[in-house]
Amino acid sequence: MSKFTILFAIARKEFVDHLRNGWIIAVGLAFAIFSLLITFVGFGFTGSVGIGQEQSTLFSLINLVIYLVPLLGLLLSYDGIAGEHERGTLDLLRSYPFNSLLLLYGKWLGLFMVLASTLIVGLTAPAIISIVSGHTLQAWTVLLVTSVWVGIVFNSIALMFSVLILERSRLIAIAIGIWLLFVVLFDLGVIGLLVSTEGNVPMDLVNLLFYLNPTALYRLLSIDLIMDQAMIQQLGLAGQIPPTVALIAAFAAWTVVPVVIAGWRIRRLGK
Amino acid sequence: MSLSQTASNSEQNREAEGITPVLSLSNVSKNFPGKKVLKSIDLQIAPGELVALVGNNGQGKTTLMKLILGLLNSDSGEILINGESATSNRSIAQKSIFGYLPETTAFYPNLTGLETLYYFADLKQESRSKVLEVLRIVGLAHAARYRVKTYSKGMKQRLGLAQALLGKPKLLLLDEPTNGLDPSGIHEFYQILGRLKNEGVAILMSSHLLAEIQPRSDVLVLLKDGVISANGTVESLICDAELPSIIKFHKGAGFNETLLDELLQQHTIEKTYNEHTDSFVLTCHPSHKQALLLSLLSADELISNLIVNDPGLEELFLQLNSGLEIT
Repeated sequence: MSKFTILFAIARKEFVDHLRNGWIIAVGLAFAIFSLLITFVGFGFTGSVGIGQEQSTLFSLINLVIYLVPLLGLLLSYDGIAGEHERGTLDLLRSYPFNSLLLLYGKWLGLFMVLASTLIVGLTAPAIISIVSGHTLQAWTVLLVTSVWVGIVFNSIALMFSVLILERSRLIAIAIGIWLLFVVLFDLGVIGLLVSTEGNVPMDLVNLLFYLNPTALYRLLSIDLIMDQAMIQQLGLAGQIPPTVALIAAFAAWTVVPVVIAGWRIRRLGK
Repeated sequence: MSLSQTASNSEQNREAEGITPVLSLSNVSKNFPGKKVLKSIDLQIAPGELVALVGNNGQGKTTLMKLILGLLNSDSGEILINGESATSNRSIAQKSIFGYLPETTAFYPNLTGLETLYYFADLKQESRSKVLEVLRIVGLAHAARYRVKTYSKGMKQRLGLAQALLGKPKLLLLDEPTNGLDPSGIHEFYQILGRLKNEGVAILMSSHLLAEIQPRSDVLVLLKDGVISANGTVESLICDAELPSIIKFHKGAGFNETLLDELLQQHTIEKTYNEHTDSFVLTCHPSHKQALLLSLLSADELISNLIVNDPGLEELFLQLNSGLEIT
């Protein structure tokens, strides 16, 4: 019971801190503006509102999430532990009578709450427009869940580096580098591979590459869970998407493994 | 008697009194890559004892505190907390006795002082009702609902002390705790420490402010080049160091230099005259001070405005750090 008290105390402090510094409102509203623009273009300018418009809007939002949410996750968490270190509170907290792992897990939980709140703020307005236009809540709920999840994956990765490096100035560069690698360079690399081999790449290898990039996993998982067959066909992905359970398992591994590495390190700080 | 003998005697006294030290370090060493930071540290702190840790920057004071807290691992030696061997990752029970104030702590600028202490109280499993009490103790109750980013350096230091007091610590580790405090703040701070000492709390405190430590510490530990070069009560260390006493006086109404020289001839002293202040300065071995004073007072027509400067911690510190062997 006491462990949970400590865990939630750390998570609550993290959440309140980000609520007070304006992160949730500022970033949430910025995300809301982008997503509303996309929704407005999808539903407004294309004439009558219909299934096709909703599907293309959701697809556009998935791409918006791929660009923005990993960056949000990284910027939110890169100084999670390093910030405590530079503030002088990391040693203080490590001297307190609880296992240091609780500090990491509490941070992770708090950052999850911050990211989820930010995306709820960002996705609520377009979801309301969509639902008022006669569409279902289900697709939006799934989009919110997968979007929060991909953000959490990047929270985990950033927290891992935060424990390993403990130096904010280097971590910000690493965060930007990770974003460039997974969001920009990875796709370019895959396209380059396909072009250079004229498409003669085994599908298993392409799928394996997708497992190595959480944003690619997010795209496949969201398309798999949200898009209808017609849209999947249109995207040329019919029969190409790996099993849902495999995608979820890989996504879960991307969430958990960095935290495990961070946990291993935080227990050995100063040892 | 050497200074190290003074140290071992004080430890023997504690053992004789049957008091289990809250903290005991024996032969503890710590190396960082390419540098030996602490060498063969032996130290004991009894309940209700205030041990002052002094030394120049980079001598290992903060490292020693981190070793005690388990934030760093020692390379050799043994650390006993309440008589029990401390494990590499300190047990929850062992950590529970600590109250720690790091050298620099910025805390969380967007939280209020009250919220900050609620947070630390939750982490120490302390009742939140204690928070207002410790805020009152450190004199921050009036600013409890202000955000920490509005606090002055001294207020942040008080907040740091407040969190250290949560959870009824048995051993306070304070790393330069009076940095940033104004004179009245320092006075209040030592009053708080005095009360805690009376309640049996052991305190290990590092500081550069020798003048404030001297009258308040029970034991002084001086770290130099990673070793304890002095350990004992301030009085005994000063006495053992045989630091010279300095006596100053001006010319009296019936001053006569020949008579003065005759008077001083029977004592082993060094005499200098300061033209600017028109005063004499006599430097003598402490064992000669009393006889010299009696002589001077017997000829009070020769002198006026007699001032006796006994050596203090600052002089001791400077002598020990100059590398002189004191026996």
